[in-house]
Amino acid sequence: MRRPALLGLGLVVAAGLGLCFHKAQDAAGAAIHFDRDSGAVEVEGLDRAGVAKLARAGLSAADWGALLAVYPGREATPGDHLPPMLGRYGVERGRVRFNPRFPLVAGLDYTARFDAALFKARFGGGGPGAAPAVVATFALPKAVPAAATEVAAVYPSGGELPANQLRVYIHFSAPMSAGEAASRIHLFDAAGREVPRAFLRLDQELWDPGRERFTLLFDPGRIKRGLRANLDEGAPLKEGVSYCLVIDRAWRDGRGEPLGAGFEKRFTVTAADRAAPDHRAWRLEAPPAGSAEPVVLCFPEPLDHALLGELIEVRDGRGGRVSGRAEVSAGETAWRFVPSAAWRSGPYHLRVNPALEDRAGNSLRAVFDVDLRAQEADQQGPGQILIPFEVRSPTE
Amino acid sequence: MKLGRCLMIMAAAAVAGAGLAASRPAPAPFGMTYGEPNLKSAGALAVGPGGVLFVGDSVGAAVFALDVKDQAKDESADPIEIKEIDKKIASLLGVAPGDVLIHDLAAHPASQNIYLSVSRGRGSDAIPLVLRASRRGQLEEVPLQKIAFSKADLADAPDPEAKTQYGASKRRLAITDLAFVDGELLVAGLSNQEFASTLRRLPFPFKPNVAATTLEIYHASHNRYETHAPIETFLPYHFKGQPALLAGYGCAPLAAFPLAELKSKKHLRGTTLAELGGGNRPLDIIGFQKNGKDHILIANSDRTLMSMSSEEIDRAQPVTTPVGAPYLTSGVGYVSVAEVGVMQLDNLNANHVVVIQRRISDGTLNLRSLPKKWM
Repeated sequence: MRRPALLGLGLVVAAGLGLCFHKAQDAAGAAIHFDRDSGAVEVEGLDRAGVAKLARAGLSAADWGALLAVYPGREATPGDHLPPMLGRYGVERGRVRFNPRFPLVAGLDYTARFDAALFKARFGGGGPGAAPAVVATFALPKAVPAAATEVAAVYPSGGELPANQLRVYIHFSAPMSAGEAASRIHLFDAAGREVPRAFLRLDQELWDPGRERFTLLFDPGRIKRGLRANLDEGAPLKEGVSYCLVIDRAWRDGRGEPLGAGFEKRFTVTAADRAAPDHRAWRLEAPPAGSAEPVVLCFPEPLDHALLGELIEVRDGRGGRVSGRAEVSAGETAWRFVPSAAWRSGPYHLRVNPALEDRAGNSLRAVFDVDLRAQEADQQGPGQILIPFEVRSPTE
Repeated sequence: MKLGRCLMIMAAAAVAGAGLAASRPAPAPFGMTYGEPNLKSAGALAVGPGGVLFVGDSVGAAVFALDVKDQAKDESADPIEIKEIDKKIASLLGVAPGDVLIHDLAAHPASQNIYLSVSRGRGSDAIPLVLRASRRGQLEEVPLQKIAFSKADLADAPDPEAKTQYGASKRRLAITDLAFVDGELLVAGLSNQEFASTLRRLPFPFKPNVAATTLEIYHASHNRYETHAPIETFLPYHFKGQPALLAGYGCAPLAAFPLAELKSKKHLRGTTLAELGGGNRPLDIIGFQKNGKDHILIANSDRTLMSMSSEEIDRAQPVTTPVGAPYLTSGVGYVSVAEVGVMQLDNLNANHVVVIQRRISDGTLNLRSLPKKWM
């Protein structure tokens, strides 16, 4: 650790004292204050004429930084020519003031260093003798998290997954941090060996807008038939084998805190699913008129949890959208819709977007890996799928 | 970022400021307005006409065009170097180095200033930023509080009718790459829900309420199964004399798509030119010249830099047979350049490419220049 040539008083200001101002002072009276509320750093006790001259000097950002520099960390003069923090400098009420550009990170140490010798040389004042540098280290107290973030759910929810399972959704109870997913999710086989490169790594992690749901993709190159990665390494999931998906407790949430607990999902692998879902095999249970009971759509296989929640809507006989609340249940084999107002007698229909996929990424339009010998290229597949149903009064 | 040097299509570059009365303040170029763009995230970067910087905002499901007012000209062919760039950015932003995420790098072709899209922090309070590194290695923030900008919203659902009325959609498009070609911004992305590789086309200057045209992109693998895997990175290029896109895939192949078909088709099928070897994904592709001849350079997650000559790419036959063993390659051959850990790559000047590279010997992250003659 390097030391400055002129180290006056290095003072570590304890966090959490409940004081707005903390102070480090040199023998000649120059002192650094840290305002915990605004995050500003101020130097007071300077020669008044010198400060007035400084205020008129029109210093560049680099010159200001040479006079008063604030860095993350505890080093008074960090090595490797690290630049000081961005911020706005000025003179206020006879003090040199630095307002950091960004809010300080709670729990991280910061060090401010005022070069009193430079100030004296350029702006005068301060009496005879050397002017030592004034250094202060401070930190904002870290808030104690109210409750640890947990893995709230993992979909598919069932204990059996097809060998070409494409996506896994991990829901958290609070927003998470970015950039860690690849190192926090693991797949182990029944013998406890980690399956290497099971998942697609992406720089742009696939979070929902609130960063509470993470989309995990098995490496499509290993799932798709005939692709080199599939031939080289085989599909990551082998039929008949049991696996454990492990989520590390160390994964940090949006506040930088680890999860309350790790998470494990055990599952057994069944045969690969190479068939597009067929809506003709779905079963619809219509609700009675006058009730707010759900309309229920049941599928012979689990479908994608997220897409089920977004790609089916209810329309009345005139084509108007029916408002209400949809939920996915029964291990993603049922979709239920509860209307906001009671059903009226008459025709309705469900409008299903053909982008709806099963667990292996086979959509209503096409299977995930299209066999070009079996299907025409550029096929469009069906448009919106309409599933009519009749709401009748119980007496009918 | 890739500004295809091999395909210099710079339409609409002369729009800015034309025919304005001298007494009036210059309006913002390209139909932009002054204000705060309010980026929700800063990811993929590309330099466009007139030095406009395009920034992909995956969280905000939008692409921004920023007038960064970078009019400097630097014709030198010297290298630039910033050692331990992650530590320097962390110091500048007042965080620990582990809380700096560098998402993309784009070198301005005229000024040679280097733009970086960065997150300050990883958590809920992360702040997206655009930083600029000068030739002297100095880093500064590109102020986004009052800047001329325009914004294009990206369609956020498989089709507009599909938007859920049952609550806020959790759907999001992760933008993997951008490039400006022939008056249009091309946006490659991947949804966090349905699995489709899409390429969006946006005419620039952005027009209000003009939705992106969405293309589904396929390439045949081994003449049997077609795939629409996500494009990780792509480069506007000339393939067999025709404008094309070279696309690098997460599941390893390199494929070419004729650009002419972009505008006429809704589904686009490409040709697989090479299998680059397993266990790897391409991070960046650029075009460059060496000894007066065109080449491409590919940065990879788990392999060295790869250099290919245009002549060999033009002679390529579609890859139709699988490789015989793990990690083998096929199709267009490449020179494995002895540089590893390159995470960001772009053209800098006539003699150098610029990279952000993790050094194996000490783990440091450095911005470096590599001579093109050695690529």
